[in-house]
Amino acid sequence: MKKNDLDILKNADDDIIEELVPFTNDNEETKKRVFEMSEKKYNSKMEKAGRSTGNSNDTMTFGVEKYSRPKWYKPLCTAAAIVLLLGGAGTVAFMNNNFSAGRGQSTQVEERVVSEAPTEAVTEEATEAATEVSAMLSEDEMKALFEEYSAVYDGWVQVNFYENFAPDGEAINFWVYGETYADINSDYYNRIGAKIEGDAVYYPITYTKLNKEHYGSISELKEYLGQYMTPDCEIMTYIDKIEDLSDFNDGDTIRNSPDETIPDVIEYNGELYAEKRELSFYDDSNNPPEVISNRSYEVSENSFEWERIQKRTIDAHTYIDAENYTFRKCDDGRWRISKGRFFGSEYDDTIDYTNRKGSLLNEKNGNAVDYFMTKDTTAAEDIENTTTV
Amino acid sequence: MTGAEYSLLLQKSTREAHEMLFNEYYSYVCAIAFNRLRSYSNEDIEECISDIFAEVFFSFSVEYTKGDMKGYIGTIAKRRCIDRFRKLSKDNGTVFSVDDENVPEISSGENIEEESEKSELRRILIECIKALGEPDSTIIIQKFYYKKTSHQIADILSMKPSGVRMRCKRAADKLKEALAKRGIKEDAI
Repeated sequence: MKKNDLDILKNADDDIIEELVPFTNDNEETKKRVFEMSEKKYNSKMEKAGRSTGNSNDTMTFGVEKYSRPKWYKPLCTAAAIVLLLGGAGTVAFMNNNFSAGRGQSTQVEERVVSEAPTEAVTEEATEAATEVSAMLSEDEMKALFEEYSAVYDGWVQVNFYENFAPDGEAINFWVYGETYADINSDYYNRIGAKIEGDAVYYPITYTKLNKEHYGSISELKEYLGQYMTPDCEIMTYIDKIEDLSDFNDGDTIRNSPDETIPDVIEYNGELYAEKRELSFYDDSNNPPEVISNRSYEVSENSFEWERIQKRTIDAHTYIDAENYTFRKCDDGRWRISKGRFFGSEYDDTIDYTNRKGSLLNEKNGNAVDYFMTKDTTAAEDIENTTTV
Repeated sequence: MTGAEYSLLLQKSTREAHEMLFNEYYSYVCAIAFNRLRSYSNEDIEECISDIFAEVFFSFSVEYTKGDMKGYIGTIAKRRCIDRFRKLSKDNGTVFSVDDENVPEISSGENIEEESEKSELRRILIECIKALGEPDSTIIIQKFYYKKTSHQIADILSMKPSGVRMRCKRAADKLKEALAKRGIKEDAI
């Protein structure tokens, strides 16, 4: 693209315009403003024509905003909310009792087989088989791990959500480089309180102190999440690279170039701060999703994948969302998540979601795999890129 | 939405009917208006979109538009865009009188061969953008076609501006690769 634009598409034929429609949208504020302008002009036309607008009573009731978030947003939030709700104490109890008991029984089986084996060759074979039986987790045990651990994983993914901050939480304000000044956006810049210096636009950014259990400092967070995730899990990699911005003062500029990315979470004077976002979960209590697959894949002695696929119908559209975690048994004998992947799309009735040979997430690749991963992978890459600049 | 459905909604509440129709066809009208008036400011384009909807609301008659309203709305949109384009061109002094002595020497500006080539390029470009998958396709269109800022795109897609910037860079690189594979050099676009 010569000038970083797609001018070639202007004055295109109708079929090209049709192709552009799915990628055309505006924020709610702009749409509301344009709608109000349309209504005003319509009323004016009606008055000129001497016709009643029929709007006199409606004006009082107007004000409900219809949000059109991307279609994957609701399923993602729903999945995340359910994961949060399901994880918990029952699983811990299950792990403490049944899991340890199960291991005890397996050991007994192994000892018995070895002692009864008549020859060396057969003993080796029998021992291997017994070890495999004893070391493999049952489906229920893997499911319990998934429910407990995925809740912790999602707790981090949703770190910026509003409920993780005290209402009057301590905040610090910085400036970050936004982009090159473009005159057509001057209203927008004023509205968000951007400052313009030369041809550069700087955006304000506010980090608020986190008010979430185990999220007090980097070391506390690392110790907590380290119980559930392997050191090479991308979340742990991200945490290793959280920046300490204690050297900056309130009102300082922390990013001066478009090549520098903006962190989600920072450390400031030994405490964790994050950008607060007013996101809320989609309430599907009246329209619960249908779990169409919830099972393990690629199970071995030291690792397994757990994938849950849910189907839901919203506004006459049916979607599926899948979450897939890879678990690995670490040297200390504890299972941890080494990778979390998510996928969402419209329901495709040509795909068999329930009786799969392999996991759905392994079948998908490229963009499809990280369709839902924008928040997390980008954050990790943001930090990684920042440190290499 | 069909004309019959819209008519029923109008009987219940004019404003709610307008709002539903607006929400359903905003992207469509926006795509037409932006395509035709791309050289002008966002404010001019928004003004035109509001003119289009005002006229759709005003001139609707179920007798003529019982079926899908898309054709009806598209026709009004294109006409209003032409009107707006003429008005803006006139305001900018780019319109001249046919009585001018230079007029006979001015060509129509239409090059059929070039237009045909452009048309094919557009089709391939759209195919390659669609192949990027979401949200990358929307980010590329919003950034490079609608000239939205990262913050504005982030607002639309419920993403972080930094996330938009990162994805945009990667998507632009992928797009260049995809176009190159189709034999289209970057500077042809």
